Order: sequence, then C-alpha cells, then structure tokens
Amino acid sequence: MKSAYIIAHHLISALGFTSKKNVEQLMANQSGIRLSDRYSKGLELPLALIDKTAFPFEYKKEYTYLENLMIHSMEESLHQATFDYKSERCLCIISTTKGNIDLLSNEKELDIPKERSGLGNMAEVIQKYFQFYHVPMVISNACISGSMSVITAQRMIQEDMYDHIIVCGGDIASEFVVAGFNCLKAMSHQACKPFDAHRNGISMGEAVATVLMSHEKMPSEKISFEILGGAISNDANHISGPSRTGEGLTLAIQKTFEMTALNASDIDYVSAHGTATLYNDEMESMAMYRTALDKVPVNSFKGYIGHTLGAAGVIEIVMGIECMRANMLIKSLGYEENGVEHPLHIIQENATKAQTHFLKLSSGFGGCNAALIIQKQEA
Amino acid sequence: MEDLKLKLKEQIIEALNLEGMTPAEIDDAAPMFGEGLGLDSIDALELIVLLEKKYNIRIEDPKDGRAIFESINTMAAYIQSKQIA
Amino acid sequence: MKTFVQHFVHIHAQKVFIDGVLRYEETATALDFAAFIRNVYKYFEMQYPKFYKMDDLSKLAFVGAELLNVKESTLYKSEDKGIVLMNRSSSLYTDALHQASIADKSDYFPSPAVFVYTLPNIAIGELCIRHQISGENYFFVQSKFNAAMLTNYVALLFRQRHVQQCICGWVELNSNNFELFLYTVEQKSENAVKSAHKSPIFASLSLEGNHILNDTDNIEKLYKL
Repeated sequence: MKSAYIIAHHLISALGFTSKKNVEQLMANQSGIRLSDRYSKGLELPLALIDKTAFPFEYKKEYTYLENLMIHSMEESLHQATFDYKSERCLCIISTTKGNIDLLSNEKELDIPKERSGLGNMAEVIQKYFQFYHVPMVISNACISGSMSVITAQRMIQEDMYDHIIVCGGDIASEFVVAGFNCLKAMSHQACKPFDAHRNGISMGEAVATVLMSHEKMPSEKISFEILGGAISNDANHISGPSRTGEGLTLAIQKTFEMTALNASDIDYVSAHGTATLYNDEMESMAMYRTALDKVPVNSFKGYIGHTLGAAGVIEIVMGIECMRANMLIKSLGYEENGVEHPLHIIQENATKAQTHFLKLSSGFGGCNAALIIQKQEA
Repeated sequence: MEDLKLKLKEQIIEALNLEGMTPAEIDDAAPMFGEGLGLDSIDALELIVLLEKKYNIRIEDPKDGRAIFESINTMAAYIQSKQIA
Repeated sequence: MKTFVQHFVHIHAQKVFIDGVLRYEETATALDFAAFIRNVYKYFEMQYPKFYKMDDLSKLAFVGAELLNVKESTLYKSEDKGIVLMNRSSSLYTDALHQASIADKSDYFPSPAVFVYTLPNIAIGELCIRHQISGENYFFVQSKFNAAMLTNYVALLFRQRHVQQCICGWVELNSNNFELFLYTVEQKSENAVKSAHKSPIFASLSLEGNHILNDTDNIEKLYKL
C-alpha cells in the first residue's frame, strides 16, 4: 500500500489570491465576509467574495470566471512541483457543486456557449488547456465534494492507480445559490456565527482551492502531510435536513478511526463543517459528542471565508494543515456563547499547540457526510 | 371563510404536489405536519412562499410558521386576520 | 477481488428492460418524461407517496432502483451498502426551473422544494432513504458514460472494504431526453442474474459460472444492450 501526501497547494478566496495570503489573514483573525447586495438586489447579505478588481493573472475571455480561477490555481500549484502532469500516471479531480452556473442567467458571458454549464463539458475544457492524459473526474456531491475528492485521491494513490492527483475544488457565488439558500431561510443577515447561541444561517462564500497529491513526499520539505484515510456516509434520513442524532456523521468518523487505527484521543484539532445553520451545527456537535471529540479543540473556517460549497473541503483542509504546520489553533470567528446541546471545545482565541493529527468533517444536502484524518510528519 | 379554506386546500395540493388528494380529504382541524398530511420542513418553507405569492403575506422567521401552519383552520384564520388588518 | 453484476435495469426510448428483458413499453407516442415515468410507476404498482414530490432526475433514479429489486439488500448492514452514480447533465434540468423562478424580478418566487433538488446527489439521498443505504455515496459527472471510471472506482470500494453491495450506473435527464442504466454489484455470485437463461447477447460477456463479472468491458456491453 502506498501513502498519499499533499505536496503543494494554492488558494483563492475572499481572503486573497495565494495560500500565503489566506493563511496570514486567518492568523490575524481577519474575515473576508462583507455585506453586499450583488446577488440579492435590494437585500444586503453577508458574502465572502473574491476581489474581481485584483486578479493577479490575465483574465482569458474564452474561459468562464470559474475556469479562469481554476486554471490559475492549478497552474500556480503545478509550478511548485516537478512531476509530469500530462502523464498517464496523473489524474485531475474537479470538485464542484454548481460549476459555471452563472451561464444560466442570460445577462452573462454571451461569448461562451451555455453548454459549458455542463460539468463534464467544463472538465474537458480544463483537460484540453493542460493537456491532461485523462479526462478529469468530476465529483459533485454537494458540500462534501471537496473532502470526498481528497479522500478519493488518497485511495487511488494508495492502490497505485496514479502517482499524482491534482484536486481542484471551486464554486462561485451567484444569484442562483443566494436566492436558493435565501428561500430556504438559511442565509444569515450578519456574518455567520458557527456553533453560537445566536447563529441563524450561513454566509455564502466563493473560492477555488487546489491541492497536489503524490505517492512521495517533497524531498526538499522538512514537514510533510499524509492523508491517512477517510470515509463517506449517508444519513438515509432527509434530503435537506441533517439527521437530528448525527448518525451519518458519527458513522463516517467511526469508520475513519477504524481505518486509521486512531481514536479521539489522538486527534489534536478538528476542522468542523460548521455552516452556522441551526441544524447543521447541532447535528455536528451531536456526532462529535458521540465520538468523544467534544473535548478536542475545534473551529469552523466559515466565519472567515463563508460557505464555499464544492471548494469548502479542499480550502479548509489546506487551512487545517497550514495551522498544523505552524502549531497554531485559530479562533473560530463569530463564536461567543455555546449554542448546541452538547458543548464543544470551540477555539475562542488563537493559541499555540503542538499538533500531529487533524480531523476534517464535512456534511451536505442529500444527507451525505465525510471525515478524514491528516497526519503531520517531520523529517 | 369556507371559500377561503377550500381555495387554500386546492393551492396546498398544487404547491406541495399532494398527488391524488382532493380538498374533501383534508380535514380542517387535522394537523398538517407529522401524522396528518405528513408534511416536512421543505413543505413548511413552500407554504411560506405560497402565502407570499398568493396572499402577499411575508413570514420572515420560519419558526413562526409552526403555529400558523398547524391546520387548515389556523392557516385560514391567519390569512383572514392579515387581510382585515 | 471478483465482483458480480446482480441485476440491471435500462430505461430509455420509452422502454423498460429488467435484466435484459423488455418489461414495459409506452404505447402513447410523444409522451413527456413526467407522464412516462408516472405510467411506469403505476404499471409496476409502486407505493411511495414521496415519489410525487421528487424532481425528475430523482424520479428516474427512484423508479430504476425499485426495479432493481434489491431483495438481497437485507443481507447487508446499511453502512455496508453504497451508491455510485454518474451522468452528463448533473441537475441542470431542475437548475433551469430554479433559474426561471428568479429571472423575472416582478415575479420572483424561488421555490424551496425546487432549489433543494439543484444538486445531482439529491437523487442518491432519495435512494438512501428508500433503501436504507448509509455507506459510501458518490455522484460523478462526465460528458458521456465512462464505464472505466465507474467500474474502476467501484472495484476499489469493494477491495478496500468500503462497500459489500453497491447500486451503480448512469442516470441522465435533460430537456431533450433521458436514459437510465442501473445495476447492482456484490461479491457473491449466487444471487446474480444467470446469463444462460437470457438472450444470446450474453455470449459476448466475460462470465464466471454463468455470472456476469463486474468489469469495464462487461459494463460497457450491458450499457449498450
């Protein structure tokens, strides 16, 4: 069995256009969420938007907004590595829920055909751009897509199906999703407050995040990050409401523990899904309580970058490993007072703590859940 | 009031895709959620849209819906109280 | 590790095939999808009131999975059962309905019941509820049926013991057409459909003791049946 390492990454979010900038902003507890009515005319909502006036790359007009961001992020990641990404031994996985959904609205980017709103179509455009050997694998499994893509890559590298896998997660804010979450009464009217007593919904975000995964460590790096394993489950209970008992997420965590031969006492830090809806946070804390994780330091990054849908798992995994590299626990922004039945150990101020294992949790519509553990190794 | 209830039942059957159900089969006093019509949380949100679309009544907090949507009787009474006011 | 195709269902061109046998053919011409799928639901006497509340992609997946008749599913714990689906158009058909509801600012009423279906894996969620499946669940999107991607990944899920039974296949619906090809996979072969009783087309499949091996070539051939 081979091991799978994250050897490079690149982030684009409301916090900035590089991983470095994103991590600096996190450490400084700066949020990217601002009130805006860009996608909800006449109604100001907290959104974490990418600064379109500050692209550090040349915008290619034959590609959509999301494709431009994905291409840039993948290029920046690939520059950090030396493997042959056009080889048969390299696969690209694209994680997205809505892809080029902005093409559905008639006002936008008329020079790009509407067919590109098809995710398979978009994947082929990206394959052609980079001349990848294989057609990219597109995973569209709601808000767990990102974590799932990293788990999937780890499993395939483990079995020697590929040497390198590029995972790119991306979703953009749009009137489509904002109107949708708003009609579900799931949008907060101020910056979201994960796990807080006064939380009342999500803040929508947009992001693109790339991780390069490899069967071997970067020889030049002193610190490496290995994906030890993960699991995916389904609540089999309701298509939009999370299970009240946390059953599905509990199962994913337990399976992850079994697979990695670790338990709650080995986990130094948990990056929760923490969307700040009433039901998600309640369900998640229930699952953490049931798996003895309620005493482990936990935060949600949603207070910094909003809910970035198909990018969420990927960007939050990168943020998690960078916090682990720095041995830092980052304050869970928006949290003041416990608002769940089984209180968690929410990180209320930045702190230093030596860390070896980090657990990422994700849950999404359709009743899906994912959990995975990443280990820091020092040479 | 009886006219309003009948109209409301027709609108609910249509909006919530209650296939094969007729207004006569919906009891005015029976609970709409859980046991009665077996509606769920998405249906409750859909009823909020129905009130806004057909009756121009806005409900901001979905929690307020619970009492209003208890039965056809409570829903009709709520609509009537809003229309008089 | 060898795995076997237990049963398979095709729904396309107004016809329903179960294990390669034509079981229903729509006689009315030019029927739209909604009317067709409702007729199939009624013809096979399915009983699931929630069916009527689903979007069209979920209705198609639901009917397909009912016809797979996963009787053996009680042999496995719910966490050992999985679903891996693939299609071309994701949830775009329902996405267009949601987009239409917000296009006109003077008639702006997005519907919660429509929006919740604007993700392809909601169809998986519906099947998980119906068949009490709580294991691995994946929705892949590809511009055409990619038997290799599907088969290779499902094989990995079995090898790594993430699943013991898996519903797999292609569930495509767009504004012009629809197509479903679903099959169940298990390690055991005793429950699997026996090719000997079926049409000569099975002669081209790679078999083991009359049972259909779950490999890329076989899945491609079954898909084209």
